[in-house]
Amino acid sequence: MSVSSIQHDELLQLLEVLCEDRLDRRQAARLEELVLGDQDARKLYLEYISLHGTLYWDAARGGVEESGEARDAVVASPVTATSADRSRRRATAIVATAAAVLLAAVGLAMWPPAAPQGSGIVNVDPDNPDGPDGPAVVDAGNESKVLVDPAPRQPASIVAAPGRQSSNKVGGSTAKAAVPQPRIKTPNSSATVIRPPAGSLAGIVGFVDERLVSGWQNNEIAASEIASDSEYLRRIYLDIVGHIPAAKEVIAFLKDRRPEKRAEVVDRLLDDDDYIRHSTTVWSNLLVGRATRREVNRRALEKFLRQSFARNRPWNEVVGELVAARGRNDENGATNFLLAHLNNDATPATAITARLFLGTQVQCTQCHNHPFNDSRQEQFHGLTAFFKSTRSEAVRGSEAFELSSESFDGVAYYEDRQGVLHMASAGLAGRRVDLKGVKNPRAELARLMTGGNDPRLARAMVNRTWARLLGHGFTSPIDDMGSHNPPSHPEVLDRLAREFVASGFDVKQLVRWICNTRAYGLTSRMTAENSVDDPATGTEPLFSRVYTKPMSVEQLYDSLLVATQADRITASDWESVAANRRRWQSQFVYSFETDENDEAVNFDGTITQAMMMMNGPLIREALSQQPGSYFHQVVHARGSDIDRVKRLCLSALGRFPSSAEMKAIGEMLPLRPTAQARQTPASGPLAEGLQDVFWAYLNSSEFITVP
Amino acid sequence: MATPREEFIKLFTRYQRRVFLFILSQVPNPVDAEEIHQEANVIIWRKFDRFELGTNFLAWSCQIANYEVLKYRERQRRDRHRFSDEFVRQVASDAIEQADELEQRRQHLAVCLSKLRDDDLELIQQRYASGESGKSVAELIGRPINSVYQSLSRIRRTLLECINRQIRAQATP
Repeated sequence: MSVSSIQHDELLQLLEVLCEDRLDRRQAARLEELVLGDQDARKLYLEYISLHGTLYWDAARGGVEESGEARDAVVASPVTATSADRSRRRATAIVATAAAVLLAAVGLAMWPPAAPQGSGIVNVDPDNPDGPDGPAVVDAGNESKVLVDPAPRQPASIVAAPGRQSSNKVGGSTAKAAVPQPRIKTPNSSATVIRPPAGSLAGIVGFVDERLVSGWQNNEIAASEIASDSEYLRRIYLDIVGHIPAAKEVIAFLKDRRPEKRAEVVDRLLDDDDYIRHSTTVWSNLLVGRATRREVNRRALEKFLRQSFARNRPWNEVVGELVAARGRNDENGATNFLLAHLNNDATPATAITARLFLGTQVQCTQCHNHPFNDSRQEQFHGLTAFFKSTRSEAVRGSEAFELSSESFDGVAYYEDRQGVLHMASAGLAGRRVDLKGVKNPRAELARLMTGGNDPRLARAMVNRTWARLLGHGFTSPIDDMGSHNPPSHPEVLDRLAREFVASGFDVKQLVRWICNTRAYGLTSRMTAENSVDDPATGTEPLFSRVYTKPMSVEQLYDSLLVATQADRITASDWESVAANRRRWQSQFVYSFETDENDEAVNFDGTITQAMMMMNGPLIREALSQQPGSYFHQVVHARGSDIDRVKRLCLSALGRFPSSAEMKAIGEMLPLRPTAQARQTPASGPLAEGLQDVFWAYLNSSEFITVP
Repeated sequence: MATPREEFIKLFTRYQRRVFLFILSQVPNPVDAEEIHQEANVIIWRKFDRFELGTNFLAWSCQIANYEVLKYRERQRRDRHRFSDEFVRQVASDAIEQADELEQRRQHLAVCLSKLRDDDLELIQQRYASGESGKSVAELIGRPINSVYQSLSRIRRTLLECINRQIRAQATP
């Protein structure tokens, strides 16, 4: 990564401050240094000042000269207050827990949880003016987890709502000790800030943290608390390996008092086989969808992805192979991506390639220039030209399909809306290629996309990965990153994208950076101090908390298996587990036969799904007392009945039952004296009661949510 | 055939904004820059008969403006200078070199403004209308000051990038 791109960012920030007349002496000196030191910096300075001055000039004079249509539009529209409706807040992301879990008799699992408004809100003392602008100093040599933390501290007086997760003893008490927060204040703000080297984990994480914190300060909100260990562990497991942690892993994590345990679990999970499996699942769904198609050999595609993620191949290589792939779909798994999108002509293949890998939506420019961005019809057809000679053919005497490409003269013809015929030559983002005599035009496209000249490949992957982890992207939707849809945190996106390129498109590194940020470690519960930070209402995300996500069907299925160990009863090997999973999820997937192969995975709490979960064979197995299942183990374990309840909760929700839950359970179940319970397994009405408790936990909205 | 005086008025009017931008690059506060601009205008008018039609009017006015900037800086106490003499000199010379390029960028700005989201356009209008500052806009619309600053930064950055794109698109037809 070039030094000047960092300076470019720094200069831009200084210029922004300058234009609002807030530049202090130290900043002025720095700006001068940058501008005098470099010709490009001078150019940027003049461009920025001239933009500022022109806006000022034109606004003051009502845009008298050269008034084009755009100019009139600017002057004409009336001034109205935009922020009056900030009050529309929705407390969507609060996970209802507590006694609500014990909806045993009637409840249906619903998403989003129908929590009463504000039920989970932490009351935070607003009078906390502690050090808002002391920039943090980060030790340059330290590669381990360092959190730059210039934000105001959370105040002491936190009134927890009853029954919230943090009120349970273990989760609550370890949470504070668990998170390292080296926070060294500089004596005064003009002291030199030592920055960790660019490209290091500490440097990148520090930069991201600093930018996000400044966003919180600018918007006068306070971030949510650090997530409890239970919440954090459940999130990181679901995000990286695609299922919840087993009860014994939760206990080990809660017992571990070392501050570095969070960073360590990120590393451990990235090396876990289930990281490979989960990434494969996520990407095969994105590439070919969940529905079965004749032309798609899913197993071969999954094999290709599995090998790619197992070796952590550079992302540009993987994409290059998917785009350029040729051959039989059972031999070259990468061919299945395009085979899934050739159902019409080159159009859907063009559209999904641009959308998935470049974060660019081009499908509507097929017929007309994009109304809001710079995409032109010509660019779309220039991109399509690469796919024009791509064919899909069934291989005789087998079930395989073959993806082929032949040379193509590289010019695509199209009509504009006036019916005038145009031609577009093959190209991407203004770079044209002569395809004459080229055997595989898509290989040329792959080179253009992944050669490092098009920043979109990295930006699209960063935005997607960030959204997958934090619950919301820098843009919404995440795959529409055109200039008409500017990102919420441009400098964070830029920096991560640059570092991603500099790392050699290292996908694991990217996940590691994001998972080590302060924002990722926060609880998803909103507080009174940050209730405006709610992108679900259409406002820009500030990442002052993690936004909850519903589990995917695969996450749900795999998590049910972890919680109940039902697979140990029905199937022993991995293959049959995978087959069972596919069979089960097919009940939730509906495919719309559209050009873009849209499909919906309805896991949003409809009645059918709820019934499916509550009464389906999987849950039945899970609650059976057959040897091998988790429930069987719990019933036969040596311990008190209260221990039994705790183990069920731990397995399902990764936490201990709250006292409110415990109280409700105590009133419902005929719990026995400890001495007796240790001697004999639970049976009769007690075993049935425990079944109900486990069932309720598994069917709670807390269970189907990635916290 | 226009009289020399009419010709002069035409030139004078046409280059008003560019002279202002030239001053602003050295004194980056629009209110101060306007004040200097007014004084420069007085001189430009006064020296009307010294200008030879057919020579570069912009360069000529910028010379006058430059002198007014220096006078302004002399009036100001030295410790209130935001930037050094060297900086001001360097920027002034670059600004003249790049004058045409900057003017070209200005023409793309109109297109880029029209592409802004409605609420962004509204905010930027409010910010610049009749010399408001980000601070007074924040008070007016009741948003936290810093969030307004942040939005303004983002919008200006969007505009800057949009203009760059337009220029590039023009360069590669």
